[in-house]
Amino acid sequence: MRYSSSLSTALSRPLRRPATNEELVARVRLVLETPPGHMPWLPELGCALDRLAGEPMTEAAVERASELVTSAIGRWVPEVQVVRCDVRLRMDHVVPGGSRDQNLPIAEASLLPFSAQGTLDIELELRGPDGPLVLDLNLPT
Amino acid sequence: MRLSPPPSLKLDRAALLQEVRERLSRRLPGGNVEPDPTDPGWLILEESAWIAETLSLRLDAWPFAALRQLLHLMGGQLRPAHPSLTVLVTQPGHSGTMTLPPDRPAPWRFFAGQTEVRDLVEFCPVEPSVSLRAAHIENLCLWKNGELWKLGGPTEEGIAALTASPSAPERAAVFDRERIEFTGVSTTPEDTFKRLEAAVKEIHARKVDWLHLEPERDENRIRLTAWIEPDQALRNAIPDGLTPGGDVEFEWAPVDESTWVPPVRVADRPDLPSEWRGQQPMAGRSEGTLRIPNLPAKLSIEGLLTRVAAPMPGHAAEAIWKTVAAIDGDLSRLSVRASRSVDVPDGEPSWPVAALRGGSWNTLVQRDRTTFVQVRLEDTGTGRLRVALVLPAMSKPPPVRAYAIDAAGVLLAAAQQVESAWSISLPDGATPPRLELIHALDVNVPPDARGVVLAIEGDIRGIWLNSFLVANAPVVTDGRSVAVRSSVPEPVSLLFQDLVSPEVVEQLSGQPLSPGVRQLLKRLPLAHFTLESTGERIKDYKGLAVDASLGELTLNAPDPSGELHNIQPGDSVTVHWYRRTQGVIADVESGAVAYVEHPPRVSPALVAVTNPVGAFYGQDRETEQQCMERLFTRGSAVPVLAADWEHAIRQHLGARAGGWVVRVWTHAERTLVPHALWPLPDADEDALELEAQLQTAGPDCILVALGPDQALLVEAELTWARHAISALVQQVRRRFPAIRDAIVTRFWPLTLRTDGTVEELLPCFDGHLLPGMAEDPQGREVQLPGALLLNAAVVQVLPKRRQLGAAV
Repeated sequence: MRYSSSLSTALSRPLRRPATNEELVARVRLVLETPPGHMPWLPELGCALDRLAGEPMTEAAVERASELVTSAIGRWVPEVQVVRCDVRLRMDHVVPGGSRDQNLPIAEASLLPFSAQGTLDIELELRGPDGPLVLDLNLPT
Repeated sequence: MRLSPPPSLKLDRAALLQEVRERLSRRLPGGNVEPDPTDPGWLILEESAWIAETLSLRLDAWPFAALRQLLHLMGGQLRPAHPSLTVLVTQPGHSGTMTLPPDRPAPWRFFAGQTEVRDLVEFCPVEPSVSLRAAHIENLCLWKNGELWKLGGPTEEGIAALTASPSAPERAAVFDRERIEFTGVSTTPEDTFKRLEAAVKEIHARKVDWLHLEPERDENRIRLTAWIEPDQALRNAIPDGLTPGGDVEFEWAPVDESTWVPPVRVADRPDLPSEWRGQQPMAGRSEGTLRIPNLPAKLSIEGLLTRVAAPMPGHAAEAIWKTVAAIDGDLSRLSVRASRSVDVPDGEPSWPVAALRGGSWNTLVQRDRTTFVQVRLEDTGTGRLRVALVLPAMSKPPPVRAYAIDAAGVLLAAAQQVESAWSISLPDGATPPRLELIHALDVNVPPDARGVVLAIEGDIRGIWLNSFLVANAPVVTDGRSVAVRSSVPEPVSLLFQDLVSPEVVEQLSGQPLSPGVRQLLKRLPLAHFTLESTGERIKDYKGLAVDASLGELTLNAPDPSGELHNIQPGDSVTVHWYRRTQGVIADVESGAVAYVEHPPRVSPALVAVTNPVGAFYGQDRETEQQCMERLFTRGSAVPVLAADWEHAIRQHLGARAGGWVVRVWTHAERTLVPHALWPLPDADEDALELEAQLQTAGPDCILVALGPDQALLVEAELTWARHAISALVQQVRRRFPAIRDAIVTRFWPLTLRTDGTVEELLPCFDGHLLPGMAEDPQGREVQLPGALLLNAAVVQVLPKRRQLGAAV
């Protein structure tokens, strides 16, 4: 997952003012990309999308992903309103006899022909104080 | 200097973030001081605070370790575990002396059984030699207000018969069947007997109703038996045998030749008015009568009066015959022999009869409120009888006299030798436990004695036979041979931790124990090793370092007194045995020690054992935290450096030593720097003695030089200061054992004669710094040596003296 938005903090702002869209996008990314428990001082911070990894790719899992994203943004970035959250499942079929990923152990690689790998494409339509925000995330499951 | 525990270095995350908020609010007035938790900047700050808190938690452990190292540098050590002490009572199969071998473990071992909360606890005897007798306690009595009371005695046989506690006093009936017999031989027995009968009738006709006289004739032998019969007086007063109601008055006059009448009491019967039970009757309306007022009607008079438990005095017995003889002059010519017999009823003490037979009754009861204990010896022998008195804690042991009863049942009038062995305070079996003082005595017993009567001048809580002191210091038989590879200190781990070392015994002696117990503990053999090359014995870790807490022995390292047993490389040390302790777990309750073990042919063989009191004084080894709390408790300064000692000594000496110079020299200062002693160049007697003392003084000894800064300290003041400083050292030694002794010497104030400028602070002890001629109070003027003066210092600087005419 890549994002190019720069991190900016509200701490340096001399006066209380609303966060800019850019800042809000950065915070949403931070929430969605942080598995809960990764920050020991605030273990509940984050979005538990990592729990979907390894689960069967069903419609229910897709629904669950949508709920997790919406609730995490609602809790941690309340300034942002989730207008739409589309989660799509993209299947990455394994070509039998293809070259093996060097990072995978042989035993696991031998199982790949019998399964499928998928990616969740989440398209969020968000609305901040300054107008709409669009964010694309790709999370492997 | 006082070292207090360092404050905790733990940093709190919440406090750090609060500080950030405060700083932010100062730097950015009106800024966002409660940022969103997802704000990247705030996340970094929170993470930093978390890292700081986590690191500080780990770093906080460092000062503890550093402090521990400092403790070791200073000589502060963890206090090892202390063995618990108690007193056992044992029943030997036969009399004998339990003697501890000095160089091998004692054959007798005593155990408290394993329970749900503790392991097997072993005790070993502490006393080098104890005489144990096959004996048991027969009874306890109390002599009070001229009357003998029974205090009970053991109710069971076996080892229970070796301990007894006084019960509620009960009237002794031992003298109820006391008889006085007057026997004489007459050439005219028939006539004499008639005269005697007439005299008896004459006496009975008088008011002497308490006295029963019975004349008898056996061929030419005439016998008159007299005894006291209180009921007879009542029978004479009330012939029908039942009280009429109201006052009862009866005759109670003395015989002619005496003023003595037998003291009596109203019986302690439930049908009698409570105010009269056990009381003495009132004097009657006429002389020679007694009266019991307001008695209910129709009470049987049998047993209404009881005799006070005391024998008839000898003069009263003599007066009976004198009175008989006075009635008839012919009887006075009859030569009679008076004898006393007492038929002891069952359950009554027999020793009063033995005392009456031996004519020592009056000696025994010479002091009021005396407790008597009768001990029966089951065999004869020469061993002494070990007795322990149980007394209230903090009480003073009462004087004890002991008398032997011979084979003929006669109590010997000569008191036997009684020696105090030791005293110890231990908790009894009550809940909550209270401390009792156990005072052990050794009673000398003649070889043919069959019994012993102890007369204890006062009350006791109990008495035990064959009692001896034991400690939870079981022997560990090791047998290993430790090869020494080099001459550097070499640690050897023994099989157990918590050893009993001389240091442990010394610390245990600091408990409130009697001098007798301290002496016994000091004499207890603690360990036995031998050097294989020479066969030399190493006793009680002498010349070896031992860490009692860790159970570690260090060869080629000096013991706490500085003595070093040099063991050459290639040699071996055989570790035969040593002692360990189980600490506070060995503070077992009373009655817990019930098992004894010894080899089959040991003498004396022990049949049973018990501990009538609980064990006490056991202590677990100190934890590091407890050690630091002991050494660094707030408000209790521990002198460590020489300057600390100077401060402490000044404080201890007080105003009497106001203005004195007090200088303390530690071992390092004395030995690492060249030093000299005043006076110079020729040392006086005191300086020579001081030099000799310093030669043998180890690192645990400080040198204190003190005195006024203008004159020499007088001898009386020096003696006082020595005592005061010795007391201070002993006091500090209990908490911080690095310094154990102090040499106190007189300070010499010197005057430096120089024309140069002196910038050194005075008093100055260093001769290097002040070259010139120094003068002491006795007028000696000497060139200051280039060394440290231990007992003298320059206290003032004056210009050089000018010789007359020098300026001309």
